[in-house]
Amino acid sequence: MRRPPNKEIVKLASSLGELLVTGSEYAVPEKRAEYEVSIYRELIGTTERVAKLAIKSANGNSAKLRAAGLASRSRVEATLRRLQLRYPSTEEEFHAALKWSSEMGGEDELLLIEELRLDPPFSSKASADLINVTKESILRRRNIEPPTLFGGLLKHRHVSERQVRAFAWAVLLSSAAMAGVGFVRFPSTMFGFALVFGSSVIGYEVYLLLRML
Amino acid sequence: MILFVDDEPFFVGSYIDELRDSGYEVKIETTVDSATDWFRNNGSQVQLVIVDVMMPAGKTFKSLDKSLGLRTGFLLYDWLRELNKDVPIVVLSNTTHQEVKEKFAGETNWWFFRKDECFPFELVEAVREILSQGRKQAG
Repeated sequence: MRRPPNKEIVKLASSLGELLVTGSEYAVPEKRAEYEVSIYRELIGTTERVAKLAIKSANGNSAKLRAAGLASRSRVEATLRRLQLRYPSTEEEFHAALKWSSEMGGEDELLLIEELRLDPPFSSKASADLINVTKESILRRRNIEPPTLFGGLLKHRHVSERQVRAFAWAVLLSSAAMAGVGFVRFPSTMFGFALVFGSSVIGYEVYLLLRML
Repeated sequence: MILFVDDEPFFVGSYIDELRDSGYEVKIETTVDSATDWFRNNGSQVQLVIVDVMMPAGKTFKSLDKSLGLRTGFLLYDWLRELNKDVPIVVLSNTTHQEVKEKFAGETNWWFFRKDECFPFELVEAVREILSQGRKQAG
């Protein structure tokens, strides 16, 4: 009777993993992203082929295998899409990765998209619009509340982003002025401390809101 | 002949390979402009169309696109149906089930598979069944 090959396969997969990681470490910086994208592309195809072989060879109960195969492929694709968002080779590829994120993205993609919104790889209006739409789509799909006290304003149908931004700046400047008054006019008093502390909290909330806009 | 419309040939490469390995002739078009041009001239040869949903709107649908290309496949579906009411159309996308159901409510001769829930060999099995039975039902 043949011995199940599991242990040998795990060893082979592990050594292949080490080779891929070492390849990334040795890659010249300007080639690293390209190398990693290529590896993940290969991994998607490999995962699909292995899953097919496993499912077709299964003893009838392949649902578990199928679920594991789909989860594995999704994980590889998610990593690849994040790479394409961070290091897009073309604007078309960037847009495609954003569109994927709008349907499939989660918390990780949301954080990444927030970074991209502040420092986008392409300056076109189309990219900026798609970044915003993707972010809104993930928030809506995941039912994630904007993480600030004022963030709820963003969800209000009748309030534009420009109005929220103007309001946020007004509050930020007012809170800075209040903190200044508390610090200069009421030093070493409870009232002064409360004024500075309260203004700082409000200022920080507004700062978070402005970062989201 | 199967017409496969998707703007990311890499991500559907394994679906196309699997279809071809199973004996199907597949024409891949990566833009809606080239797809509509090709279908206009060769539509009579097409047994089945597979369309993605999230694609650039191209010149063909630029004026109709209200979603930055997130729902171009829906526009392409309507365009295809105008020309051919009978050709089976398979929607292969990451778009949510609910939105697709709403879009295609009342339609027939279409099927929907989410990419993340369908291996290439499973798509081939579905295509084989659709073509062999010639079913006319909602997906």
